[in-house]
Amino acid sequence: MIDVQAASPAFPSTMSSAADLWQWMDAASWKIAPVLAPDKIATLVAILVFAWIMFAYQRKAKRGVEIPIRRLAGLDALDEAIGRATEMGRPVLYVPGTDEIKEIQTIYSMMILRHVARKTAEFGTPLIVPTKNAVVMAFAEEAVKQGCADAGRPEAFVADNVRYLSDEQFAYCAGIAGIMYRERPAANIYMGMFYAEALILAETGFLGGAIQVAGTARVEQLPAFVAACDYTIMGEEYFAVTAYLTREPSLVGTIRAGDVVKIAAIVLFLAGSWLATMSASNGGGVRSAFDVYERIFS
Amino acid sequence: MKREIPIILTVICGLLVTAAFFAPAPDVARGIEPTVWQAINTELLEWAKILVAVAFLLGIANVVRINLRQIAARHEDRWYKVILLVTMFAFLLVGVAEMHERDLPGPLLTALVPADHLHMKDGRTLDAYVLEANATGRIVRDGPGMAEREIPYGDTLEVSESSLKMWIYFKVFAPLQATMFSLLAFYVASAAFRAFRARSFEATLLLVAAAVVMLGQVKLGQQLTGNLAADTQKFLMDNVVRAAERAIVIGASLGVLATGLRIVLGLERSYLAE
Repeated sequence: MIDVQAASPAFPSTMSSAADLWQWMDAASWKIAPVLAPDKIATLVAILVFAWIMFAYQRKAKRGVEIPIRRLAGLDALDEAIGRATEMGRPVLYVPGTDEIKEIQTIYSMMILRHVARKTAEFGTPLIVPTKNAVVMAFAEEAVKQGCADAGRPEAFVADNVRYLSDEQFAYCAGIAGIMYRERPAANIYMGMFYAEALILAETGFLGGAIQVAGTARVEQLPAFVAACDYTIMGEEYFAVTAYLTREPSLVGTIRAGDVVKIAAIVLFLAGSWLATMSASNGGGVRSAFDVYERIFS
Repeated sequence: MKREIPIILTVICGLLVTAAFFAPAPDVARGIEPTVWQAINTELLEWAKILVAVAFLLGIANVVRINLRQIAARHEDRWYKVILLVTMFAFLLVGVAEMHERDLPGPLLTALVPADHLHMKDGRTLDAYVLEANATGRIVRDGPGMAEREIPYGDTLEVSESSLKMWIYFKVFAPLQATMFSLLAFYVASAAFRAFRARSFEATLLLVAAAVVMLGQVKLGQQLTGNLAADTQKFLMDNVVRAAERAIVIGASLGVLATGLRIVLGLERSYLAE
C-alpha cells in the first residue's frame, strides 16, 4: 500500500525564486491531481480566459459597439459565384469536406452551407451537396432545408441534391468529379476539412471552367486550393465566415476576442523568447524562470 | 421542442466530454482511481458508434432512392446507376454471408464464401471453413452440410483464410483508389504551372522560391548548385514556411476554440433546424 500523504511534496516556505515557484507547482499539482489532470491546468485556464474575453466582447457587440471586420475577398466571392451560376442557369456545387461531423470544420461548413443554401434558394439556383459521410449528409439536409426556409422558399429544397456518395476518400472524390463532368456546375464551393483529394477536386473543377471558392483551416491543403481556386479562405478567415456574412453581434464579438488572445499570445511568445535567452546566458543548475514558463506552456 | 432538445443534449454531452478531458488519468503512485467522467465518456463514444451505424442506413437509403429514381426516369447514365446498385448490394451480400457462414445454406455458402486453406504439418493442404478458434484448436467444417470438427493447433502450420470480400476490396477497389490518387501527380504539375507564372512581383517571388525548393530537393539540383539550393531550401522550409504555417495554425486554433465553446455552451445554433 502506498502512503500517498507521505509521498506528497511540501509547499515551499518562501516564494523568492523560480525554484520555489517550481516546488510550489509540484505540491499544488499533487494536491489538485485527484480532481484535475495537472498537465491540463494551463489548457483549462487558457480556455476560461478565452471564454471570458469572448463573452465580454459579445456583450459589447450586443450593446451596439461597432466592431469592424476587414474585407475578405473570398467571402465576397461566394455571392459572386452563386450569382454567376444563376446567370448561366447551372447549379452550384458545395463540397463540405471529407471529415466526419465531429470535426469542427465540418460543423462550421454546415453553417456556411446554410448561408449558401439561402442565397441559392433566393436566386432559384440548384444546389448540389455531395457528402462523404452519412451523418454529414443528415446535417447537410437540415442546413439546406433551413437555408431555403430562411429565404422564404422551403419548396426550393430538393432532397435528391444532397447526396451520400461514399465513405471512401477517392471513391467520394471520383463521385464529385463525375458530378462536375455530368452536371457542369458553374460554381464550386469547397468548405471544410480536406486531405489529398483537395487538389484533384479543385483541378477537376478548374478544367470544368467553374468559378471556385475554397475555405479550409487545414494548412497542408491550402497551397492546393490557392493554386487551383479563384478565391481561398484560409485559417482563421474560415471561422469568420458566418460572422462576416451575417454581421451578428455575438459572432463578431467572437472574432474580436480571437484578436485579443492573439495579441496576448504574441506577448507570451516574446516573454518566452526573452526568458529562454536569459536562461541560456545564466547557465544551468537551479530551476530558472524559463523552466517554470516551459512547464506551464508546453 | 424540436430545437430545444438537441441543444440541451449538445450542452450536456459537450460538458460531460469536456469534464472527461480534464479529469485525471488513473495513477497508482498518487492513489488516483478512474473517474466517473471517463466512464461516461467511454459510454458516450459507444452511443456515437451506434448512431453512426444507424446513419449508414440513411446513407444507403439515399443512394438507393436517388439512383432508382434516375433509372426509372431512363436517365442517359442509367446503366452506371444499375452497376452501382448491383455492386453495392452484391458486396453487402458477400459481407453478410461471411459473417454468418456457419448458418448459411450449402449452395449459398459454396457460391459466396471461399473455403480457407489449412496447411497441415504432414504436408497436406486442407480446404475447409474455419468457423471459430477456441483454446485448444480451430473448429472447422469440411464442406456445406458436413459436421463440425476440431483441428488442434499443433496439427497445422499455417492457415490462410480466404475472403471474397477482401479479394474484391484489394483486387478491384484498392487499384481503383490508387488510380484516382495517382492523378494527383498530373494535377500537381498543371496547378504548379499556373501558379508559378511570373505575372506580378509576388508571383515571381513564388516562382523563385519554388525553383530553389525544387532544386534543393533533388540530387541533381544539389550537385549543380554545390548544396546552395539545399541549404536555401532548408532555410526557407524551417523558417519562412514554418513561421507562416504556425501563424495560420494559431489563428485557426482560436477559431476552433471559439466555435467549440459556442457549440458546447449551446450558443451556436445555426447548424440546427429551427
